Amino acid sequence: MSIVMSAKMDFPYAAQFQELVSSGNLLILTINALVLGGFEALYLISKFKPALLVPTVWLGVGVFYALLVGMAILYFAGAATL
Amino acid sequence: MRYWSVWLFCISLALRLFSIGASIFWYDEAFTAAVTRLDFASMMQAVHGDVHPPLWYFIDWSVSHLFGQSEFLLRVPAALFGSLGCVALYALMNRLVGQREAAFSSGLMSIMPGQLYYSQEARMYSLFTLLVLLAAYAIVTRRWRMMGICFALILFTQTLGIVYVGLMAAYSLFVSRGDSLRACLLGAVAYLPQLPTTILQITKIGSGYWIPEPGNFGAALMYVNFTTLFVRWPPWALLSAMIASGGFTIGSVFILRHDLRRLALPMLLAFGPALTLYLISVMWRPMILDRALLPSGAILSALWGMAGSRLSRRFAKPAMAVALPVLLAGLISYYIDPNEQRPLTYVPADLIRPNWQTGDVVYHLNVDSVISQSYYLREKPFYLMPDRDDFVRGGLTSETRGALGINNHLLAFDELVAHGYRRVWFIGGWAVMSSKAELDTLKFILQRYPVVAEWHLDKTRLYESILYLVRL
Repeated sequence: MSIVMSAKMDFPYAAQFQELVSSGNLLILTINALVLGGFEALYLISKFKPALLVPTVWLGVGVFYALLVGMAILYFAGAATL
Repeated sequence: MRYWSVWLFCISLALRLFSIGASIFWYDEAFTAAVTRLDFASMMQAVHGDVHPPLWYFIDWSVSHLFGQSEFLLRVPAALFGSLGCVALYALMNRLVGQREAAFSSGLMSIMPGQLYYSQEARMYSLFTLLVLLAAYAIVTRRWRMMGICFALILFTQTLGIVYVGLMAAYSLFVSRGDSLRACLLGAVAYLPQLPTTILQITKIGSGYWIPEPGNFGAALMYVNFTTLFVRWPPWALLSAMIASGGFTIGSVFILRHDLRRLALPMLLAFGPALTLYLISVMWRPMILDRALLPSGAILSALWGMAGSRLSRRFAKPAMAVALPVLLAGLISYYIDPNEQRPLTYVPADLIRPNWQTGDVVYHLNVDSVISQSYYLREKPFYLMPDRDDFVRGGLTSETRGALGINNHLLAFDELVAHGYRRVWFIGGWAVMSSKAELDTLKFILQRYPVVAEWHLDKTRLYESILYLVRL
């Protein structure tokens, strides 16, 4: 909800959207950290231990699917709504 | 490769026509249907007070008056433009990097759920994407007149197209050392008749228009929401899809980093508009409208496709282990339940019609409800709760409401009895856009009048819709 609009009008449920956006901000920060951190790690490995690069990429794929399955379990258990 | 363009167009069109009429019109599409049902002069008046330029409405107005209106008919032009957009991307990338990578890029665009979604929507976004890709093609082939015409058409299609036009004009002037100036001016001059309307729209509607505040969330959504992968993904897979999307993008830029000079225009179109809108949002007014970045989504698929085709075998395998399931899941989840594709998934008319009696009337607590139901309940008598004149909800100015005939239907709820009505149908509940006046009226109605029946239509974290039938 635009702040401009909330200030002008009285929208009792506007805070609900703002709340969702705020939780989304946190989510995006987490994703940024994961993705950028992952690439940073790959870059460092390629510099100092090139032999470990391909296994690390596969490890990243494993982490990706573990996260997918983990989120599905949490979601269906009712612990995460996203 | 010889007939790739033809195959690409046919496959893209087949994917876009499949289940195209299955989902009902949501608010924006219902607005298109309402506006294009009018005579030409009234349509232009309605569009004059709206937030978007007239080109798309003119196309769907022609379809409506030639063939009639239905979900299928009003969405078919979008499917055609979306399919042509894939071919335009192929032509652009073929010129820039060669056939193989162009085929990968355009193939990816044809199955990208975000592109499919807007190629099945009775709105202007697939046309907008096509025109941006054609303008980019005109720049790389140095067809300046074609570029100028595309610029004008972009500006007549989407107001935020000015960001794309501005960036492409600056790029063309730089690479042509000023040769494209006349064509840029041609585009500007062609747009002049529309300019006063745009200024009016920005001043009249802009301050009340609903666009989220900028932030990490909004900025990231610009890329990953509708432009690429995220249509109809289950909530538990969203986090992984966002990581995949971010990973593809960063990985693609890394892989293509040595080719930046050749790919300057695609890179500019992929990231420049989002960055520009983000800066405008921070410095002036919220402008982050994810669907207006659909052309960037198309270019982004091109970058992903190109980077993917350049991967060595040892990295291609892990990349495919993520990309293929993600892309397939995106594509399949889009088609699993076609009726769930749009935000509005219920048709109150299906409940109202069989239970309709003489002396019934439909009452709307806000103008959004009038528009959303206008296609499905167009033959039923209706009234709208009067609201403040300066309340430009959903971008509908008084001028647009007047052209649509809504202003003749303003009436307070307790005056319905005097007009001879005995039962009233209306949608209650709440939404983030519900005003206090609207919620107070709902409370008043439910306290004062007996509810004959109620149906719980839909409930999410951002709204709840309940259809009520009350006796006066």
